[in-house]
Amino acid sequence: MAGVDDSSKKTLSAIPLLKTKAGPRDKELWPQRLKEEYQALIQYVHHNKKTDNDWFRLESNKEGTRWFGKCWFIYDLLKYEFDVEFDIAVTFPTTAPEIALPELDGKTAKMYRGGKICLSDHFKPLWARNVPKFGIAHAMALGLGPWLAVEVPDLIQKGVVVYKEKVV
Amino acid sequence: MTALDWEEVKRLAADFQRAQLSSTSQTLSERNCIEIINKLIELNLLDVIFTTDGKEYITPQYLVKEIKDELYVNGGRINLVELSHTLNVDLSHVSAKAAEVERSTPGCVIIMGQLIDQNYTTHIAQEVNDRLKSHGKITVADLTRTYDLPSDFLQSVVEKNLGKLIDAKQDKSDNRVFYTSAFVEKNKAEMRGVLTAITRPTQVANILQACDIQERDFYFAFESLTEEKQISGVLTAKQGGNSIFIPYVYTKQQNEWVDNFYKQNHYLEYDGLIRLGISEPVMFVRRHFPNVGLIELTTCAVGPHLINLLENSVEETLLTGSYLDTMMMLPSVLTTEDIAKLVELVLKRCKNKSAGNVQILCETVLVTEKFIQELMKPFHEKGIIQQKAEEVVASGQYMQILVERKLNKGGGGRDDHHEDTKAERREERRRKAATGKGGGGTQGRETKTKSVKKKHFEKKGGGRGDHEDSEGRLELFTVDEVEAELGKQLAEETEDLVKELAEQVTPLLNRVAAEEAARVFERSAATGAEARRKHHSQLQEFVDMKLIEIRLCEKGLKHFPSNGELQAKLGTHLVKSVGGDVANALFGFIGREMCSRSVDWEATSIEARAKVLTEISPDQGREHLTKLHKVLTSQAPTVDEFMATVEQAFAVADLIVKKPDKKKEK
Repeated sequence: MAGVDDSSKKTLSAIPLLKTKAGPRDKELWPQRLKEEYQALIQYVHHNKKTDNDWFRLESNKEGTRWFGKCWFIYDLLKYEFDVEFDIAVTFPTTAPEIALPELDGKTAKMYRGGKICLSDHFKPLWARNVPKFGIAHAMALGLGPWLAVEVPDLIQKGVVVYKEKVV
Repeated sequence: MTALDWEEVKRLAADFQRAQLSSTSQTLSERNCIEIINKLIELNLLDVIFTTDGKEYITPQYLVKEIKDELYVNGGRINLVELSHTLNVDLSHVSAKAAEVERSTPGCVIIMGQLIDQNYTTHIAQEVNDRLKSHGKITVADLTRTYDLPSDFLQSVVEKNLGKLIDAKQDKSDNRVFYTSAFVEKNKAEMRGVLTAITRPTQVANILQACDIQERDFYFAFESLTEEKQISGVLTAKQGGNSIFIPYVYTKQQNEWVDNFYKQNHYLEYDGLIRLGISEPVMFVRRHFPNVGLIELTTCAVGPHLINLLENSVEETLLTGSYLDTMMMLPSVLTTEDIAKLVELVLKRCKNKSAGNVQILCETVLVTEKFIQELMKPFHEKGIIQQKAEEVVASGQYMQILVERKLNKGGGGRDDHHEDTKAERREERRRKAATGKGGGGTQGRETKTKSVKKKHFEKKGGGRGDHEDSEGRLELFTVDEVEAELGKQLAEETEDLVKELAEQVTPLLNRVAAEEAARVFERSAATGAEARRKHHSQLQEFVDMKLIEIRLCEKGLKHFPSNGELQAKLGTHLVKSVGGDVANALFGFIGREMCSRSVDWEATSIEARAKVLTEISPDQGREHLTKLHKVLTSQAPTVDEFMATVEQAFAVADLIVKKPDKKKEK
């Protein structure tokens, strides 16, 4: 997994770390935090585009508590697209956001109910160590990205996921 | 504050969306690219050229463009290797494309791995023109050195632009050289000056050195000047540093000198011509005087005038019968050989019959037979011959020689005859040779020269013959004697001539003298024996008388007181005086008889006696005569001693000592 680590590290270096430790409940500081989150995401997306590694679309509600969008994975020259959604918990940023792919709910073992992906064991300690520096961008890069890379090919081979024509 | 923050969050959210929606840049990894391109090349879908480092590709069109650009940047000339370096493209591609450029662009060429375009050639032409303007002259070799381009190319460039961009002329003799007309004019002017100033033959090399001008330029200028007839002179050879420029002034002067010299002297000396700077005098003379009829000799050429002069003199000499030293008439530069040749020629021309009697002495002196006779006259007139002949007969030498000859050869008479015939024959031959020379008209030249040679030979042979003669015969005259005598007659002549004349005359004289001697001998031979006998008896008488005298005196002496000193002294005196007379008479006789020496026996002295003694051989009784001589020369000879020796000495000469005659004593 060194390769993953390497690439993830590289990815990490591309995402600026956050400073403000504030959850949605902190009326005063949450916008500040949200600003930082956006800035980090923008940076991350820019980086991805630049490295030809664009793999998601994400947007949030007005308050920035709920996020949704799409993510995709290219396998065998085919683009597999999935919806993605997650809420910012009150405990955020102490706890990581629980990213969910509702389409794949029940199709794989590595998933909680509601399609929440089962993140690897070492992600959570990593996050814990980096509170409050990690944000949504980091969760995407270090959580969802690797998960997709591991699970989607497996799912496709199993025939659980079938390529859908006319994917936008 | 919060509201503001939220505004900002909204704006950021929008930014985020925008960022997400912006198109992804399509990049391929390097590896992929390489693979893709390889694939394309494999499929012949793409034609590209790798750079040397392998990191870039360029299309051939672009390479062509790049080459053209580089060519332009580098001023129209670029090395393909350099080009391949700067463009970072393999040389093979570059040269291939350069060839394409050459084909497609007019005026573009590849030479020695260099690409050159029209601009550059024009540039060269302009530069050449500039150089020509400053230097006046340019060679393709120079250009090759400056531009480092092959001469053929430069040649073509220059020739192409000649008269257009380059204002110059091409050397006619060497098309690799170009001049400006100004340069040519300058050279011409300089040469005109220099060559006009030169008055004596000058080596072209020297001229070049002095004028600091190139040999080629010199000849170029010279040629054009000659065409314009602006040079007063010629070159001995075209091209080459050792050809010589000869100004007309000099030639003219030379010719004048030669003409004048010839007019004055009627001959031309080759050495003199060489001193004048004429390298081949013989040819020169032939060329210069083609119809004059000069006679070529080894050292000079002689004109007909001189020959005529000589001929006249020779004829005159022949007529008058004198001699002629041709050396005096001809210029002193002629060697004796030349003179001999001339004389031969002249003699040939002389139709005079008497030419046959001419001899050539000292190689240059003509002597007529008549003259030699003339020379011999004084010998006759002064009676020298007569005198000599008589002398030789009187001294008995003649006799002796006759005897010797008889002993050596046996039959002297016949031998004598033989000698005579030999001499006769020689004479005959001489005459023949001479007539051959005289009647020269019909005979070829060769025979004539031969005859002359023979004559020379003969002269020498004759000389030797004379020697032989003098051995066998008697030598009445030595050459030295004759020479001395002739010297008196011909005081103004050289010694050599006199000597030769003497050599010529001596044998003749000898012959005449020998004949004379023979005559004298015959005359005296009749009287000779008688005379001897007469001499002998005279001597006997004389001796007898003397001896009687001695005896008488001796007797008289005895009347002096005996053992007195006076008696002894008188005795000695007697012996020395009267005895001396006897001895002298004896020695004189013997001297004449035995040693063929003409000794006047009545006037013989003690010294003469000693001389006679040395000449007598021991078997002729020298012992006895010596004894007698000793007695007479001793301190105090006595009469007894004298008497004792005189008897034996008389025996030598067949004389008798008569017994004392008592009657007469009384």
